[in-house]
Amino acid sequence: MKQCYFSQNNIKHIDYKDVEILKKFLNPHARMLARKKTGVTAKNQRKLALAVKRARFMGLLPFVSR
Amino acid sequence: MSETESLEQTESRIYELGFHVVSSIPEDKLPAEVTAVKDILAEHGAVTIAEDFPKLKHLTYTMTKVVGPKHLKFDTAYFGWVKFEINQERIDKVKTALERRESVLRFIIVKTVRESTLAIIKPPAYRPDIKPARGVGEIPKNKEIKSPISEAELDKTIEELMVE
Repeated sequence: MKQCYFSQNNIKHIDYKDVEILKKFLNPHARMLARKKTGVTAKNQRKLALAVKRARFMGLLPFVSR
Repeated sequence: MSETESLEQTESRIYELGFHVVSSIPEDKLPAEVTAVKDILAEHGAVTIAEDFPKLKHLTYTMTKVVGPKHLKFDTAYFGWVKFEINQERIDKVKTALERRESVLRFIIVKTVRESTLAIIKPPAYRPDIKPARGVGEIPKNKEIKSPISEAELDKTIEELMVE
């Protein structure tokens, strides 16, 4: 079973500025991947969603792509 | 209870301000803009904890800033951030002051923690208990090569060749 990326790397806070990490959890259309696919815990998925939304607002990540 | 007393009693919190400075500003005037933003924070009693000087970034979509009658469009901006501690009740005033600044293209204020939230990812450590996948980095073992003829027969053929 795939483990949570954030738990494995001991990441407690998911920062919206960490664009390279956030990009790992987006598909080519810049939509978020389901946690069923990534193995991220429910708690971290919620933190990740918030970080992605903040990064999108700040123009660091796209809302849509392709 | 007076107003000042109630203000002191409200807890101070750690916030982070992420902001984009418009790219139309020349790079040599950027430090002055950062100082102006930090002055807004200092005016409202904020104490800076950490910061990152703005760097020019390509925006993933075009942002618009309305300055007077004009709608200015930007594809690049200088992105910087400041982490600070401030009284909870004063954060709204900081927000209003930043909204008025024409040089700030967009900003975000988020609640955060004192320690750094930027992830430090270590390269995966070598674990001797985990064996690599089959065939990866394996050196093929020297197998005994069986010759089609026996050693005695081989000697015999060599001798025959020597005679010839």
